[in-house]
Amino acid sequence: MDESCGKCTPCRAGTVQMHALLDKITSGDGTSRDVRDLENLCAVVRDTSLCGLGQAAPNPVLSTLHYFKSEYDDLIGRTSDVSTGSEASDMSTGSEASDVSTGSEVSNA
Amino acid sequence: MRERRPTLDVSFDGVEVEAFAGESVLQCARRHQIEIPSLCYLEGLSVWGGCRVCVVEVAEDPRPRPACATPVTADMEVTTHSPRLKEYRKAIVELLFAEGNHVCAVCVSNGNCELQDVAVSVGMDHVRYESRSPLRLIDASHPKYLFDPNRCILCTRCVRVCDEIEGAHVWDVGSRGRHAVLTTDLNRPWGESSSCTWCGKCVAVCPTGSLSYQGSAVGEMQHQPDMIARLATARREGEWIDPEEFS
Repeated sequence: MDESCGKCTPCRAGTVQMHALLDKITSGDGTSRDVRDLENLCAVVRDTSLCGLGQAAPNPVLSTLHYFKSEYDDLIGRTSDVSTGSEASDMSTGSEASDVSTGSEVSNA
Repeated sequence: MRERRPTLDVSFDGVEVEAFAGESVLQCARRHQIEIPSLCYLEGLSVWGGCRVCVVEVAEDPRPRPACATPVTADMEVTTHSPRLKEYRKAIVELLFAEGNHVCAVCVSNGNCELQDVAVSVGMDHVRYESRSPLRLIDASHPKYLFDPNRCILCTRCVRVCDEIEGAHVWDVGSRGRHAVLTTDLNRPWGESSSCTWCGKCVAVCPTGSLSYQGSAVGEMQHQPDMIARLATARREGEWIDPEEFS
């Protein structure tokens, strides 16, 4: 995000939004829509960036979405505002992932 | 005098057309009235290829390409509109709106804005991303023109036209990444510039309300990018070209 040269829109503006979405999700304020937007945004940045920086920047995020989807599901908790359809995770994470601290309790208010 | 250039065949969405060797996919499409939206491209100025709105799909190339910066090749198969391209273009325009402070309701270019036009053409009806609300200060120091960086999409048309057509090179992009901003001379107020000739070409080519005439009210600003396109092309080709060829 801070290494972007600023020439192309997806990298300059897109990585900033990716970071904002990740912040929102990891702080417990994220929704399933945010996770979906993050996933779509990663594709945009990866496929339309002018150089390898923008093209590769989404890779770590896409990896976590692929292999640790259940953690995202835990983080968005019960504040789902969009029907995600079938989101059953078929990825066996192998390790115990229960050490992840989700920060504040997700509020239902 | 325009020389006869060698031609080759390319196809857009299955329709075969004739292309000139050396021209870009976007130039070829525009000549045949095939719509590909764009923002940073302006006929007559050098190619920038930064907005990424004009991305198209080329057969056998896994990555979308910017039409303005991709030369035509023999038997090229271009897809100008696919579900993926539509989603990508929409996202890119939304990113632009979320990046700056674009308040159409109070903008001099409201209704006469290429950013608005492109937003409509890519089907954007809302911005899904959170507005970054950056702090960007207006430069009203020039007696004739106003620079509002809140509306700037960093297309660099102003930079290119001032450098390539007027020759004054007043504009540059300072800093980088999300902090990138247009600067005049050595990052001094525009009104203090010793190189600005007041020609107004930068204002003429600006696709948004970022550059405007001082004293313009909301919606009053009318830019003239086609005039610059014709001027620049006439200089290069040595003859006045019908401007309808590039719109």
